[in-house]
Amino acid sequence: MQVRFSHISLAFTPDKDTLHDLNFTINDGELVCLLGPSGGGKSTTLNLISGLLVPTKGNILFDNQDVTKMGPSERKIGMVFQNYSLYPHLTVENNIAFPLKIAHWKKADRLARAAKLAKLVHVEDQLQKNVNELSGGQQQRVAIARALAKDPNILLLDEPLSNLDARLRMEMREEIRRIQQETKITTVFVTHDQSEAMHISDSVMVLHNAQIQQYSKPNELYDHPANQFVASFIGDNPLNTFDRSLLDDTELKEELGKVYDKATTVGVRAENIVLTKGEDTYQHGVRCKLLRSHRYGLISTRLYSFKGIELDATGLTEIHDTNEEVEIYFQKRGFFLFDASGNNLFLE
Amino acid sequence: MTKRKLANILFFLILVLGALIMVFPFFWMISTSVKTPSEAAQIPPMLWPKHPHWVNFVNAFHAAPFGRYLVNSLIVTVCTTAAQMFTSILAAFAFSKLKFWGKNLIFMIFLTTMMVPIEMLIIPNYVTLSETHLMNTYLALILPWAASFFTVFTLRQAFNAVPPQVYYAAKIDGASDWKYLWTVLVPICRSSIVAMTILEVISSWNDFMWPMIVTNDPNMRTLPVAVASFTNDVGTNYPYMMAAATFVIIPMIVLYVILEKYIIQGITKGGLVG
Amino acid sequence: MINQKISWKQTLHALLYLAPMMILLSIFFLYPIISTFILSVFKKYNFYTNAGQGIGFDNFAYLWHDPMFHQAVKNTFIFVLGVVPASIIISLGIALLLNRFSKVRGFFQTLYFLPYVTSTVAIAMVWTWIYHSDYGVLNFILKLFHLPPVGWLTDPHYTMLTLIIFSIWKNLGLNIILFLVALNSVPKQYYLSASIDGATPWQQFTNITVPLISPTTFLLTINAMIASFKVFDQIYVFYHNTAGPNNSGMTIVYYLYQKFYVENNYTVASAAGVVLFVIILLATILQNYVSKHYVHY
Repeated sequence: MQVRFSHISLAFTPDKDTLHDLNFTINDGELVCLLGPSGGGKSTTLNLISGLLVPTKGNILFDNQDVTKMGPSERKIGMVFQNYSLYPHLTVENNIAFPLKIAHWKKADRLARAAKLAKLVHVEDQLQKNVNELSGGQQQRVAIARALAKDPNILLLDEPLSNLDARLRMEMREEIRRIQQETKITTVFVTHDQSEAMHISDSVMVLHNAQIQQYSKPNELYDHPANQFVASFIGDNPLNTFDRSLLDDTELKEELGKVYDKATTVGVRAENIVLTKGEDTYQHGVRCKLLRSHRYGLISTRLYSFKGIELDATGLTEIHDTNEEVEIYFQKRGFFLFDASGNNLFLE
Repeated sequence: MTKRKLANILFFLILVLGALIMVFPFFWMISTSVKTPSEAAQIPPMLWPKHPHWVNFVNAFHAAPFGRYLVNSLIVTVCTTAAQMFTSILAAFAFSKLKFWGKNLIFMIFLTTMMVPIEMLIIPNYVTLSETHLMNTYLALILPWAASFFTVFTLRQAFNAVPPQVYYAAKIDGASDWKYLWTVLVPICRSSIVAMTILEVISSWNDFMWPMIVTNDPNMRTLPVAVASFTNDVGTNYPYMMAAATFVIIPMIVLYVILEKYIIQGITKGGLVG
Repeated sequence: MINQKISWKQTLHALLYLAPMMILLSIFFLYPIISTFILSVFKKYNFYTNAGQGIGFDNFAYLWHDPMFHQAVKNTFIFVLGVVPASIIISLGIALLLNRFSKVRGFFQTLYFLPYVTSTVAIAMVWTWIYHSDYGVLNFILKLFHLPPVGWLTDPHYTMLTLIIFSIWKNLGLNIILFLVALNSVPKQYYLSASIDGATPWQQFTNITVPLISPTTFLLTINAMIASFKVFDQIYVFYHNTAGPNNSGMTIVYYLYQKFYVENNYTVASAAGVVLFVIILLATILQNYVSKHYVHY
């Protein structure tokens, strides 16, 4: 089912919008991640889709039907909460079947459905157990099965993996992708972990400061971030940023041309700093000094000093001495210029 | 033997002596119950009669209509407890999970009822029940205790401990408030509810002053009232009196031994509230 | 749902849940509170018409001048002073001993708690037999130690002692249980570090245990006081529906009962009720004040 937000605003207090004029469409059958730092509005957006929250302004449409005024149970959605929110007094089987019991399904029918869903999420051997006996990952599977019980139009997941340890998180991430692809259910997934979002989704919506920062395919976010916030939020390494004026006396300024004058801030990804120029780099580099280097496993990190600021560089293999002055070059795909309001000038 | 070991033995003996003092009256009650009046009055007292007269229990039971009193006590205890738990669960749910105008005001108003000594309320309640011609009825014994803000207060705390997401999950699953309360919240909080239920059973079963005041009719007496007035029926027949006391005490002791865990839990949760 | 503005519909919905409790407590608690205050200031009151006449503080003046009420207040305070400190000290001692012997703790705890779950009236009946001047076990034990027999239930000098001993015995279990909770919530590392510092068990008790459980001690003291102010059932049983020989067991609640139920003097009984209310209110205020400012759970 397609979900559309049209001019949605939400204010908990009259003077400040928690969400401001949101407009987007989630296509049928897609898995979309709502990504952003905490307090950015992603869980709020999810709760608006679920009907647990009611917008102050605007309309929410499911396949062109206006559901703005509908309560959560009328919207035919399934939802998984961060703490799973399983019913602790029920067995796995009865947890999955609970929504069907409320809907007055016959006992045999609902148990059959619960068994089928348990199979889908791989907990078919746990059906009679109490939910407290399950591991976190298993509880999460049960929560997903329960959310799917009523064959909902949309599946909503609110930070479903954040209570799991790192290894299990990877496993469950793939599981959620598999279940979504098997059921082809439109899925909205809230996370603050950018790599989780990048790995799992068809599209990612970055939310920050009550607004959508960017809504596009995962790789788009990395390759063509709409603004400085997205550029620094996406990616495993930190984004180096510095004032544009530091490049004023370099030949790089000439090479960048007209767009350079509009920029106020420069952003360079740590993995896109190299020591030799090539076709994918700008032809002019800048001179800096190696302050220190550090290696952990495959990744070596170096800190260069450039006009009093420090630049992180990862992925360099050529060895040279500390305090030696070298010329570094910026690969074009990881080099951005932002204007005063943070917009990526290369996208214009 | 070390000093520490000696101290431990001494302390243990104190504990045992204390326990004997606590238990002795119960033992003495049973022991006297099965003596003849002359055996009971023997000096030095005999710990246990050679030929226990177990038949004393049967005779005492028939010396006054104890069958009737037992039924009265059962009816009053069960109805009072059921009514109080029902009204308290509903109210605690509203205070814990629902949003409505005047919530804090209503809560504060009824909170004052926890601070008032119930002995003070006996006169007006007596007047109210006389005027509505409810004296000597089960309703008079039950209605004043069919709601308790203390129980509401304690259950509300238990309900508050259930995360709001469970409520939202149930809403998404299509459950109404009523369904949520009875199929999710109550089962989750069952240990608190059981604890409060048993505490109310005990206090209702043992209640004395109010039942004594509203029952002039001997047929409406509850067991404690009947025991207090039993001397009028049997004079100074102590074995019969001890047997009558046994009728009141034994059911609660059985209940306590079986459900001790819940009683302790209720006491520790409620006892520190005030 | 989460952020919906409160509507009349929701308020009505909630009131339906609250209605049974609100109606019952209004009739049997809120109305009587007001009613008692009103009754207490009526000069005259007719039970059959439920109508009062004349407003004034005559009933309180009556209490002020009634030697019987003086006796009741005095006895009530003697009772509270006799029961509460002893009960707190004994129960703390027993709780400490129980903690020492953790293997048998559960068993002993059950025994010590037995009196608390039993009917005061029924077990007081048993105690009348134990207290019996001629055939009672207690006097027999005194005799074993070559002490003269005591008229526990007949000698007015012993009335308060008789009531106090019974009441300590009856309510010890409650305080023991709550002390055990408090003792076990003291973090163990305090004792570890104290013993590393060389503190003796007694020093550990006075420097760690006592201060850390003091909030509980205080709450238990107030609760025991409130309960003791209301003593009634055992007096009724011990002295066969009187307040003891020469009214030596007269307490505030017994006075209230006597005026109300025996003498049908509703207005004076209500005034006594108001006095009881004020005493207990002061204790409750003290409790709330202290638990807000000094108790941290």
